Amino acid sequence: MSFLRRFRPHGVFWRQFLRWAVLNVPYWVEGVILGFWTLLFMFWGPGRRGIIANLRHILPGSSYLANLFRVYRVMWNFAWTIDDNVRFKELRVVPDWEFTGREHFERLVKEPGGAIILTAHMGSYDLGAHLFAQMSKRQIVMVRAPEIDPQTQRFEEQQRGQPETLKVDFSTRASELAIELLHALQRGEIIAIQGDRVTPGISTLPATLFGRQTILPAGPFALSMAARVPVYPLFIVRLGRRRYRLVVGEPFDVRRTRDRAEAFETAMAQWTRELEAIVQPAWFQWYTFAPFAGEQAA
Amino acid sequence: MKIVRGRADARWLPSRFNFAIFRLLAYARMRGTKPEPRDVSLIVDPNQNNLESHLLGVWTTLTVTCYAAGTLFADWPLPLALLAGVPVAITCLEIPIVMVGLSLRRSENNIGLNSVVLMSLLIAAALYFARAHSWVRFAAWQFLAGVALNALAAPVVFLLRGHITEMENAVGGISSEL
Repeated sequence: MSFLRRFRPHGVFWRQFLRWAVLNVPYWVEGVILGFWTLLFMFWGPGRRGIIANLRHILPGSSYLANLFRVYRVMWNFAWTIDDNVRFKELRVVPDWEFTGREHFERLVKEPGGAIILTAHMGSYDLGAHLFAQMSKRQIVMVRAPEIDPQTQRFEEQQRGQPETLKVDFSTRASELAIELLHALQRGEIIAIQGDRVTPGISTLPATLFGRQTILPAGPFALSMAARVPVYPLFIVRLGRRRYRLVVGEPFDVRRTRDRAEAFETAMAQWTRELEAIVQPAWFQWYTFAPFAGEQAA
Repeated sequence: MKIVRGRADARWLPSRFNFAIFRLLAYARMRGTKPEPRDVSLIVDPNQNNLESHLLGVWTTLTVTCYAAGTLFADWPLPLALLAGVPVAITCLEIPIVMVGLSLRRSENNIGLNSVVLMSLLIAAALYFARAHSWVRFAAWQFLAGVALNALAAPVVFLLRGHITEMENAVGGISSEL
């Protein structure tokens, strides 16, 4: 049974296969081969249905048939993103970068004191972290959800070639991790958290995204309030093969007031505005494969 | 690795292209381009260009698709044969990659070797189909014409290497350790 487990959607076989492909496929046929293999993703029912459900809210009035084709585009971008990620880890192949909101980025890397980077499941988290490490000597802590499959988790840990200024932590031990992150912020470190998807066991806040009620992680806002550090919305948008754009939004604070709920509500509204402004035009690379709203939402 | 910052026109640097014909076209394009200041960071790597990569991928796949349509599905209506030929062509392109990858150096970087093997097999296939009596020969001829054009461009790029280096130095850039 444990042998067969590797072939499940979250199993380690697919990571090993991707690594093998990255080390073997010539650059000039990778697009064709990737496009062909992306068709396999279309057979992943829950993912396909999740994307279609989300597209209905992001693009109101869109038809089921058109969204089915859009699913392929999301999967195609996702395939390129994970491919770029492995290509960077294995062969140190770096993409071209464009920048939007450079002034905010400069402030983030130059101003002393801790800060929170709030980001989404878009582009490549690892490539973004590498770019950050290249442009700044500041310590950055990336918080991410652990892999569902333990074998996959072990494989990813072995593969991760990261700069010294980068530390990865997993959002499994919610309360313990929160204290560690608070200390890191107080030491002046930067923490990167994905704030567009809730994983089981973490605290949440109500939010409105694309006109729908949903829940989003509370952690980044609570940390910002406790450590009195700004939150920087930051997104990595894939523009094409080996081309990414780093978009940094205006930072905001989660102020300590008498009414904590109101402070969180204001901060969450600011975050969802930033998130919507990015996801609406770049829906094809929001890698949220479960419905974010409605009865099926987590 | 060299990185050029702040110059969007550096996307046309010949060193960002792999094949001689594309390097030559990039050189011509770069000569006619004015500096384009923009907040970008461009990597100087021979496989960095989108257009070259996608064009070559589509071109080789369509050529092999024609071979498949003209042989395996020769009795089918042409549009249907071409459609059926696409997955066959992609599978055919993958076979040598899998063979080399699995049999020779399992966990190493085999991209260069696979690239040479695949291109050699494509040229061999084109030479074979060029002698056919059916329409498939035209697909083979255009492939060989592309290869010949690249072979002609290679000595020109070699002779221009001094100018290309000068042009690239003028754009600037920094070396970065990864």
